[in-house]
Parts: sequence; C-alpha cells; structure tokens
Amino acid sequence: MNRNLRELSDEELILEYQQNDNVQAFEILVQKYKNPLTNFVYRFLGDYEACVDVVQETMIKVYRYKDTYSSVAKFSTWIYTIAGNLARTEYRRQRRRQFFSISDVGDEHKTFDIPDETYRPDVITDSGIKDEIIQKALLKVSDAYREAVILRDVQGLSYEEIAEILGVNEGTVKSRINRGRAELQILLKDIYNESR
Amino acid sequence: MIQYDDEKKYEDVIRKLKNLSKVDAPDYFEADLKRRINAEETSDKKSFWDKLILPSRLIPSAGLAAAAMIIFVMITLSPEEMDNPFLIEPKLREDIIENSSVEGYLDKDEVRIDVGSKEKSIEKLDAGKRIQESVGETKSGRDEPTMMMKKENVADDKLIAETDAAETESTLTDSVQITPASVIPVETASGMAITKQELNFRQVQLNAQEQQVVDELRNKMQLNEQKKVDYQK
Repeated sequence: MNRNLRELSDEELILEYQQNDNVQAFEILVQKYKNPLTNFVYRFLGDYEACVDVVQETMIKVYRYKDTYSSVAKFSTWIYTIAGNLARTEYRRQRRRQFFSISDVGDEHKTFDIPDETYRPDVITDSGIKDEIIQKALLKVSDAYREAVILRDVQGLSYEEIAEILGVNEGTVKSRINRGRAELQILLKDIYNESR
Repeated sequence: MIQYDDEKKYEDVIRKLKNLSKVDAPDYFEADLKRRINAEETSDKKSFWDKLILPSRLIPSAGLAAAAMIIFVMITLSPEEMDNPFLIEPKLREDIIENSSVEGYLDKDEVRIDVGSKEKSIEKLDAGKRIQESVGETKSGRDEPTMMMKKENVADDKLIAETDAAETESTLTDSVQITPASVIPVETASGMAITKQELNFRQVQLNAQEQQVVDELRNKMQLNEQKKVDYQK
C-alpha cells in the first residue's frame, strides 16, 4: 500500500487524503514538499527559524483544510500559494517588530534582538559568503518582485504557475521578474566584478 | 523574443540565483510537525462549554464590568437618600381623603343608604316594589366647623376622584358608601349605585313607577320629620 502511494502523483495523493483520510498520503506530501518550500520561504524571509515555522504552518493548513483543495488546480500551486501567503504575513510581522526595535534605539534600558546566524545553512557551505551576499541583496528587493524572482529563478517554476500562485496574470509576472532581476543586478554588481 | 532578450540581459543574475545552495528542512521537521498537529487537535477537543465558562482573555473585562455594575447599584441605592425623611414622598392616605370628602357633601336632605339594606331594598323593589331605605342622619346639628373645612376640600377631592377613579372606587367600597345626590347624576343617584366588591354588585335603574314610589316614601318621611319638629315645638 505504501509503495503504491509513493507512485501516485501529488494530486492523487491529496485526493487519497481527502477521500480516505489516509494520513500516509499526507506524510508523503510533507516529505516531498518540505525542502522546496523551506528553500522558497527561506530565500523570501532570510530567517531560518521563522522559515521552518512558516513551512510547518503550511503543512498544518494542508492537514486541516484538505477539503478546500480543488482538483482543478495543481497541488504544487496550491501549497505554494499557502506558503507564500504565510511567508508574506510573517515578513510583515518581522518588519513591524524591526521598526519598533529600531525606534527603541537610544534608550539604554532597552534590549536588541541580535539575529542568530548559527542555523543559517548557507553559511557553512563553500560558497557561503557569496550566498550570504546574494541573500542580503534579495532581501533588499521589493517584496512583490522578490517573490516572483525566487519562484522563477530559484524554484524554477513556470510563468503560468507563478501567475496562479501570485494571483496575477502572466504579463505582470514577467514584468515583476524583470524588475526584480534589474534591482538584483545593481545590488550584486560587485559580485559580478569579482567573478569575471 | 523579448523574454529571451531579458533572460540574456540578466543571464548572470539568473545563474547566480540558480547556483544558490539549497536550504533544506531540519531533521526534526516531521516530528515537530506531528507534535504541533497533535497539540492543535487536543486544543480543539476542548469543549465549547469549557471555553465559554472560563475564557481567560475575558476575565479582566468581565471583572471590570462586574465592578461597574456594583458601583452603579451602590450609587443608585444610596442609603443617604433612602434614610433622609425629607426626600421621601409621603404616602397618600386615600381612605381618609375619600371619607372626609364624602362627608363634606352630606347635606340635610341627603340620604345615607346602608349597603346591607341596599340589596334588600333592591330585591324588594324587584319583587313587590317595596323599598326599604333608611333615612340618613342629618348632620345639621353637629360638626359645623368640620363641615366648613371639608367643603373647602371639595375641589381637590373632585380632582382626586376624577384622576384615580378606579382606585377611589375600590377604597370607597370598603366601608359604607355615601352617594351625595348633588355630585352624582340623577340617574345614578336614583339607581343606587353600589360599588362594594365583596357584595354582589348591582346597579339598578329605577323605572318611573319605582321612582314614584321612592318619592312618595321620601315625602312621607319628610312629613314625619316635619310633624316631629312641629310636635317638639
């Protein structure tokens, strides 16, 4: 049975979970999507702990609201939409928190949140420094452009899928991607010079 | 073609992004996910009544509301106002007012009809047109100063009688009712309105024949009175 489930497509797995309440089907979907979603959300947020939390929240939403999935859409599109919405919410929350912590500067009794870099997986790789620079540059790109660029150039999704995830038409997606790339090019100019 | 050009233009950026190291989920991801799902399920199983009885976030506001209620009650039922005799409106002694007012109307010629005898007289009128009536006590000889005072109260008493008609009726009927002919319309007076609730309440309209009998009796009584006065003289 388990072997058969692994042969099923994503859409078949979610249907199996919907109709038969088969938790194994859900677990297979979790195994399949946990890494791509973690990569996507991490590149968008730049905070590994928050990213794991968002991906887990995405999985919980799939678990609880499985019946809201319609077989008309692709499962990957649906789960990326959920993750994207949650990531955007978390990003806004982080920005608000950052704003308040910055506004506290000058008060000697206040404490500051120092980002914990120990969980950053890209730091420990060979190209860790470059990755870190690219990540910082990505975080400086506008939210809407950044999401589109990550989905296209990091996750490798099609324009059609991205349009569905973001809820905009393909033309808008292409426009956002190009603008995002342009912003990144300016931000990463130094790295290009180094690599040439 | 434009798209291809764009991709050419940003070729380096695209390459850099594609070469970014992949970030994977931690090892504890699934175990932690299961723990969170189980935790949510158990919190969902908490019954509706449990949530309703003690929703912790509502405790401060409920306490505040209760305190406000207590303060409101304490202000509205302040003992200072309760105990201050000058702020208490005196109760209206309607029975006294009614009795005095009715007595005020009494005149020499007016007839006091005993309620007990009223029924009898009505029955007798119906049966054989025999009417038993008792002549009212004449008040000419006594309480003249009291009469003066009582007459002053006539206007006020009339007002009370008009506004509290129903209430007055019930208080009046506790004792013998006196119906002065000068206040009550002739039809009602001749009809001998009895309003005492404990008795079998009846209002009788006398016909011309009966009225004639009553008048004759009254004339006889007046003649007797006259004779008595003449005899005494």
